[in-house]
Amino acid sequence: MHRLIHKEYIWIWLAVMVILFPRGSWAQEKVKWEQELRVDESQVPESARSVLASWTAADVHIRWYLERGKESLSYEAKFKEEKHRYSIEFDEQGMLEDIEVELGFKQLPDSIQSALCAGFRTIDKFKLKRIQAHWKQWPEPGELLRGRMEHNTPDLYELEFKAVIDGRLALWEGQFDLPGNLLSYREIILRSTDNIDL
Amino acid sequence: MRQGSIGILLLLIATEGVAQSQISGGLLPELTISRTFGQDWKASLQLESMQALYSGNTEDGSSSSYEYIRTDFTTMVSRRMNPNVSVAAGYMARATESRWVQRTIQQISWVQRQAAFRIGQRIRTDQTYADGTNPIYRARYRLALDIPLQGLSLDVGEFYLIPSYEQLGVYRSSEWDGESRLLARIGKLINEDLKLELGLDHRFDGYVQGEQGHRTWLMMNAFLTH
Repeated sequence: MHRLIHKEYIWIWLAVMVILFPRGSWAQEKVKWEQELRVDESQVPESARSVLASWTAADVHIRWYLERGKESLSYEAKFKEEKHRYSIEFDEQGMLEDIEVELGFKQLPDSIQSALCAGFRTIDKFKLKRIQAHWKQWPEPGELLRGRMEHNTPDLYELEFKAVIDGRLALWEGQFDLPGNLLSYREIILRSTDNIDL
Repeated sequence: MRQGSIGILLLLIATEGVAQSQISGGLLPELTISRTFGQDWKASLQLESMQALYSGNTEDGSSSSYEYIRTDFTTMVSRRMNPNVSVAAGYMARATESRWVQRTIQQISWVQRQAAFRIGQRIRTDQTYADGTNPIYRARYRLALDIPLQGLSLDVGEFYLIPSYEQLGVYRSSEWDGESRLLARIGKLINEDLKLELGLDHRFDGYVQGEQGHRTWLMMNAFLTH
């Protein structure tokens, strides 16, 4: 009896596996247009390096990444200084593109905290995961990097949060303006976890 | 749990010289095909075959070469409860040389994202049945890291490393025993739907009851999503 059940199970199992087998997957690498690679400082345009060197203390450890898009190339410097995580992006020529600073919610000015909280209340089951202040341009980045953010209002805040949006509980990335309005959002698609949970 | 396991591991290493041990090693190829249904449901079929290329006993010096051990046909169905947590249940039929074995599986797994890697944790229970033997009940905990090797995130064409540790409690015929598994796998994301991995899986058991066993397997894994 057991043997019969096993036999049927294996045949059905094999048939389903053949049906499910994604035939195109063994083909050559599909082209993907976004790539981020760790690069050595010597590969970064001189102007970006010298600008950053003038803003940061000598002992700050800067990690450089090359971000390759379909039609763009940029360099991103990541480092931690005075308890803040910075991510500063330069274009191919080494010109500043934007600055992001990861903050704790309590590090935001009180007025911004209340405005954002009011915005969060309009979203079902909102749970904040990560917050970054985002500057598109910065007249004196050196001031920013010395932690003097209170006088330098960012253009917007980029948040990572768990919430129910469009009837779906998921992880989202959204941009909030300073009055706390959700300007845009997209779902963060997590890479398959098959190889760490099966 | 992890600290206890590390303690047991150290004890095992310290006593290895005097204890009688069964040592074996071989190949453990595995193919997993997964398909998602809707946004939260997923079905996975996993084919895994274990073949020993060497096995020996340290006490009497006996050894043998090639030996077919088993082939597993596993079906798992999982549901994502929230962005980081999934629950799953499954059934496995195992073909050994002499008989069929069945296993039922239940698990919960969760993933935490860090800036440069992911932490995957899994708690699993399973029940194994075969004609003429007592059932085996196991409780397992696994901790794994998923580390991209070429940047902060994994992109197509890039390599990654997955070290993991799993501790198993095994209950059989009114007796408890333990098993530990240390794994390291190097993988490559070939495209969005395919990952290939090569690694070593070292398992040791018998440190509570009976003689110790050490088994090391060369893993060759393919993960396909559909």
